[in-house]
Amino acid sequence: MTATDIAASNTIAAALLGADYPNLRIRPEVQEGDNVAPGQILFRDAKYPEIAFAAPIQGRVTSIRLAARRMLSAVTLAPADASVVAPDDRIGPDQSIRDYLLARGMWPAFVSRPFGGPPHPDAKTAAIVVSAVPSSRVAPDPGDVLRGQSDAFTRGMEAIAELTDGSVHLCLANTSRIDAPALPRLQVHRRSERRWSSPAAQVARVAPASPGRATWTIGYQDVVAIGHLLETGRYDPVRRVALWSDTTRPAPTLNVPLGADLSQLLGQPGPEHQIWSGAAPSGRVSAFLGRHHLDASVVAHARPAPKKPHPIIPLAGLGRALPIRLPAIPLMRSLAVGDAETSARLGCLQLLEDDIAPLTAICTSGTDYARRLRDVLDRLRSDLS
Amino acid sequence: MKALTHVMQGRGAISLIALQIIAVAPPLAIVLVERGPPAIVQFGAALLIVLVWDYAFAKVRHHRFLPQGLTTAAIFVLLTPPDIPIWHVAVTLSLATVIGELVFGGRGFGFLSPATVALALALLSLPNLELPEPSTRAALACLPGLALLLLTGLCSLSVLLAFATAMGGIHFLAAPTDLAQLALVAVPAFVFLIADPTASAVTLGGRVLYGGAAGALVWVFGGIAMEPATINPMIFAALTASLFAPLFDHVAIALQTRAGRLRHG
Repeated sequence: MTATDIAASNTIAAALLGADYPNLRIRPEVQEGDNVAPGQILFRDAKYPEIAFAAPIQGRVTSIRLAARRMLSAVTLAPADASVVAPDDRIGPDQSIRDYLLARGMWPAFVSRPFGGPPHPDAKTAAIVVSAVPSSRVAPDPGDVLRGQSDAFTRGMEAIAELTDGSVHLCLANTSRIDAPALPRLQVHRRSERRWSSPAAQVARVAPASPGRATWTIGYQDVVAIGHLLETGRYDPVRRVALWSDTTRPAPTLNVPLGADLSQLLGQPGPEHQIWSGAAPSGRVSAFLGRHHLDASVVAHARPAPKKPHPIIPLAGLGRALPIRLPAIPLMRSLAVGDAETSARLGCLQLLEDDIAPLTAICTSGTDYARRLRDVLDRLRSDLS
Repeated sequence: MKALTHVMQGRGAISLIALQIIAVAPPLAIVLVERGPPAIVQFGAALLIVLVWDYAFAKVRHHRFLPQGLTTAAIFVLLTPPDIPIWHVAVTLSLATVIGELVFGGRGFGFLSPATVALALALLSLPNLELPEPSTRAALACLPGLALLLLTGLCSLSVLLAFATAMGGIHFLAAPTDLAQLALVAVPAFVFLIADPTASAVTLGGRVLYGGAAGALVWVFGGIAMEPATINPMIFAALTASLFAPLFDHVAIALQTRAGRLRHG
C-alpha cells in the first residue's frame, strides 16, 4: 500500500481520544450508528460549546465511550461508504479566523501550555509556537512533507498570526530546508534537533509559559490543514506519520487519518509487546494514533505497577530523560507523593503527559508519572481559578 | 546504555542490589582468596547477620524479603581486616543495617549508604583500627564494576569527575602523597561508598557539589599530609558528604530557579 492510499482508501478505523483532551466533557452531535463524513462535527466541548471536534474519516460511529465523571474516553469510527456529504463551507465575509477554526473542528489542533488541552475559545495568547522539527529520528522530515504544500503552509501561518497580537515562533531544525513565510510578527528559530524536537523544549526556549501567560503550540501539519481548510473549505484529516517496529527498518512514513487505528497499521502486537503512540519513550500506550503524534511504534510491555511502592533509585539517566533541563528526581519524588506546590516550584508547569512519559519508562519505582502529573496540573489549575 | 537503563524499570531496589553485587564480586573474590579462611569466616558471619535483619524486617512489615544486606556485607568485608572480632562485626553491621537502611523502609528509601555507616561505626568504636590497603589486583578488579555502574546510571559521571577533580586538584596543589597509593584506596572507596546513588545528591549541580565536597573532605579528615594514604578518611568523607547531599540539591535547585527567573524575567 503506498503512502497515499492508506488514507484515501478509507479502510482504516479511527478514534478521538479523551487522553488528548484532559478533563473534556462532551456534548455529542451524533449517535452511535450514525454515518459521518470527514470534517463533520461529532461532538462539542460541554463547557465551551464553541469548540467543535470533527470526524477524521468517512464512516460510522461505532461507540461513544465516557470515563469516570463523564469525561470523554473515546469516540470510535469504523470506515464505511456512507453517502454523507463532507462539509465544505468557506469562511464567511464577517467571520473571524478564530470563529471559523472553532466551528470547523480545527481548534483542538492547538495545545495551550501550561495545563494542556485546547485553548479557551476567547483566550488571548502572547505567543504561538509552530513546531516543524522532526519529533524523532524516524519521524517524517517536515521539509519533505511541506514540499508542494508551501501555499497552504503560508496561508495557515497567516491565519495563525491573526489569532495573536504577539509573536508567532516557527521552530525548525538547523538543517531544515523549509522556507519561512514572510510575515511581520514571525520569528524563526533554528537549533540542533537534539533536545529541541519536543514542543516543551521549544516553548521553554522561545516563549516560556506560565499560568498568567499561556503559550499555544501547533504542529506544522496542522498549519497546512488550516491552510487547506481556508483555501478549499474542506477539513484535511490526513497526516504523514512514521510507523515502525523492530522488524521494519527504515521506518515507513504513511499518510493516515487523525486518530488512525494503529493495530490495523502495525498489526496486533504479540503478548510481550504493545502499541505506542508518539515518539517513544514520549507518548503513551494507545491503540489509536494520538491527536498530536506523528510517530507510532511497537514497544516491549512495561512492567505493571507494583502493589507497594518501589523506591525511586536516582539513576543518572533520569536527568536527561526530560525534554527540558529540570531537576528530574526531586520532581519525580514530589509528583509521586502528590505535592503540587513543590512540583510547581520544580517546573512541572512546563510539562505535559507526553513530556514526562520517558521517566516512567526508566524509573525503578513503577510510578506512572504522566497520570501523577495530570493530577497535580489539575489541582494547580483549580487552585488558580 | 538505554537498554541497560530501561531494564530496571519498575523493578525497585532489586536492580540496584543485583548490579552492585555484580560490581563488588570480582574485588571481593580476590580479597577472600588473598586473606584466606579468616576473611571467608568473616564474610559468612556478616552475611548471616545482615540477612537475619532483612528477614526480620520483611516479616514484621509484611514486605517481600529482599536480600539488600548482601552488598553491605560484601563491601564491609572488602574494606575491613579479617581479624576484627566477630561480635564486633555483628554489632556494627546490625546497627548500620537497621539505622542506616531498614528503619527508612529499605534500600532506596533512606539517605545513607549502610556500608559507609557500618565502616564509620567500626572506625569510631575501634579507634586503633587500621583498614588494610587493597591490593593492586583488588583495586583494578573494581574498575569493571565502576564501568557497569556508570553505564547503568547507578554511578553518576558528574560525581566521579567532581570527586576526581577535587581530590586530584588538592593533590597536585599540595603534592603530599604517593599518587599510585592514593588511587589504590580511592578507587574502591569511590565505587562502593561515595558513588552509591541512594546516598549521593540527585541534581546535576548537587552531584557536582557532592563529588567535590567528598574529594575535598578526604583531605580534611586525612590531614593534608595524609602519609600514608589510607581508606579511613574516605569513609568519613563519604558519610559527611551524604549527610549534606540534600543541602547540595537544595542549593542547586535554588540556583537553577534563580537563573530561570532571571532569564525569563
